[in-house]
Amino acid sequence: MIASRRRIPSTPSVPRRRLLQGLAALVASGYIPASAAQTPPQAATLSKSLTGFAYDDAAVASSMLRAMTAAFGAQPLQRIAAIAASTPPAGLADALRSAGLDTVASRVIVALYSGTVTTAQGTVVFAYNDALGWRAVPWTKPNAVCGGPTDYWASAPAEGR
Amino acid sequence: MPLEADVVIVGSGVAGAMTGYTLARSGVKVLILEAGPRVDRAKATMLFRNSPTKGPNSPYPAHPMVPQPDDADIGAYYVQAGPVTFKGLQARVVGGTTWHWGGLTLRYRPNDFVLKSRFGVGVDWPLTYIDLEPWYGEAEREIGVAGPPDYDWGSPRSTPYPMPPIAATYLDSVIGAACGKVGLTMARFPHGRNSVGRDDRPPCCGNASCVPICPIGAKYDASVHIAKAEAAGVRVEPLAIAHEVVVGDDRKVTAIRFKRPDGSVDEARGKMFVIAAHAIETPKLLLMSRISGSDRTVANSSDQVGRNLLTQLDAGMAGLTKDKLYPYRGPVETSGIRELRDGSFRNLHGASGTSPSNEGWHRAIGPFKAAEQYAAKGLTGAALAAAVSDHLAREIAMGPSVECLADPDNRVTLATDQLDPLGLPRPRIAYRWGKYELDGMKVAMEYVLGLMNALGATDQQTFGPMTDGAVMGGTCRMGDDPRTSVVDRHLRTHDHPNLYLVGSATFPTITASPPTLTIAALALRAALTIRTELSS
Repeated sequence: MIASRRRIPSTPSVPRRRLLQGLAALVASGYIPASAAQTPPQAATLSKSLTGFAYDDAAVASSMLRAMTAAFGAQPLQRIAAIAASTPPAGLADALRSAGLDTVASRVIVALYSGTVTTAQGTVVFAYNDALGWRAVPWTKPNAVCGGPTDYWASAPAEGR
Repeated sequence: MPLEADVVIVGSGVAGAMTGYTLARSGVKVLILEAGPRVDRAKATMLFRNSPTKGPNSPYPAHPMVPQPDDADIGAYYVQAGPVTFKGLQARVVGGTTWHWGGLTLRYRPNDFVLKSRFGVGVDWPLTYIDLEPWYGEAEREIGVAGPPDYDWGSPRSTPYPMPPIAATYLDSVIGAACGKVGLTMARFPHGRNSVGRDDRPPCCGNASCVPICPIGAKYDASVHIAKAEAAGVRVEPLAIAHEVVVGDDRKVTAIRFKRPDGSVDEARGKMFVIAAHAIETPKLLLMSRISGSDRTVANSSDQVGRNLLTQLDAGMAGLTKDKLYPYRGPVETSGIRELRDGSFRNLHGASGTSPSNEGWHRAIGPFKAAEQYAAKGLTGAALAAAVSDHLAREIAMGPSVECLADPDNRVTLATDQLDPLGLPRPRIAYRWGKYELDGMKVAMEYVLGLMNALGATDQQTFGPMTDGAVMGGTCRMGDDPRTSVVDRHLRTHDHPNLYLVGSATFPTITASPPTLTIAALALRAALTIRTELSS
């Protein structure tokens, strides 16, 4: 019964329709630059440098970039992307810390992993099944997605055998 | 224009749905009133995915006019009178709280019915395990239970399980091996989820989202029996918020009055009435219903309506095991620890049920929470992914659920000063724990700590004690004495010959086992009584 006991900081659920309406309003108001609605290659580079993965689906990537820009602002994302593009993986954490971007980079990573980010307008879930966090655990899959034939769970996954 | 039926049922969860279906199958005209809306499984699954918290009620947002407790905001509905914050969750939707139950279908044990006479604590039920055993078998057939043929969990069986067992997870096999080091043993649970295709429902494919939703319907929920009931002719009225039980001069109930979301009032008339609205709404409805020309409320000559609210006392431990367990694969729980669920110790402290969770530390958002932890430490890229994977594979969480004894001061009353959007009082809940429960928790947690150490678990954290599950009961308890109980052994109210209460609200005690199968067995039994009464 422990399942029902674990708690995480609560945030309101955001129906997809409201999310899309909110994002459309943000773009219309100029709060999100129109260019940010695209998926520039540096966004994928940023994502790969920080997490090792990137959103492959163009629509999801576009939603991600809009939400991330709304949450963190275009400039910090561009600065992180520039550092990520020019720094070897082993030195990335130090480089971000030196630039004073380690805290925001950490939040960007969590947003990329979870497909969820909090903006001034509320919490936005731009991906769940496609959230990058699932790529880090290839021995399982997102919840509410079929995992295999009945009783597949009785054996360790391939990596544990 | 009033609605009419032979039997009017309030509530469409497992108790109401199973009662309604069983009656309709024998030709009885049945009407079910449900306060909440219908649930579309595909839409509910999308709501779950789009929810940041992904809590038990995330697929079932409250209708604006029908509030319910939310896991992220329990105060959205309950008015807490303390001293303990009561967090029992319920879903006010067609199909009820079974939408987000875990799916475990343990029977109660023979000793669970005779706590007073056997152990000198609590109260006895007015019926025994022997009385209920055939109905357990029937309930298992109706729900579709997959159970282990080699272990009966202390509840002797006259019939086999309808389906072969659900396999234990790999996680359970590792923990089972560690159990031996601390004198514990494990066994596979019986499940209300399909291990093979049955009843037009597919076998479980390990979506691992049993709480809050099975996207394919392999796990039983009461929408199964709502569909069957409607096919058998039952009329189901969603968004019909019952607010008054009308009693005539002859003590018989004549109608249920209900509101629509627009505030209009309607009435349902019948010969027999069943309230099956779980442990909070059932007493709330009765307490809102005054008997004409008197200060008394319906079914409450004993002053027991709303009293003796029961839940399980919960606690837990989390840690990172030495070896990888690979949680997050398969149903939420597949095996449990056999010990401490019954025994002579019950004269001193409560029995407890402990089972390892297959949901890691954070259920549907485990990788995200792990990433938060390691990103804060400066990890990026492949190093971050490796850390998250290793962490998640070693996450373990488990905890006991301890049985509770009735306390008349644990109580649901009406918060007449805090109304819902329709102007109806919200439930005010007073709750406290007793020594019996706390002592039971202390003993159980010592075993859990021993097991965590046997697993070489680091980063140990404890949670609770708390009242945080969806297990609730006891607010309209059954008994032979009308002075101390609300319904008799047939679930008929002592005060009104044609009013029945069905569901865990009638339970005199809540045990260490989940109550759902017992609710179903009692509902099937009550349906036979009602049908017999109607024919006579």
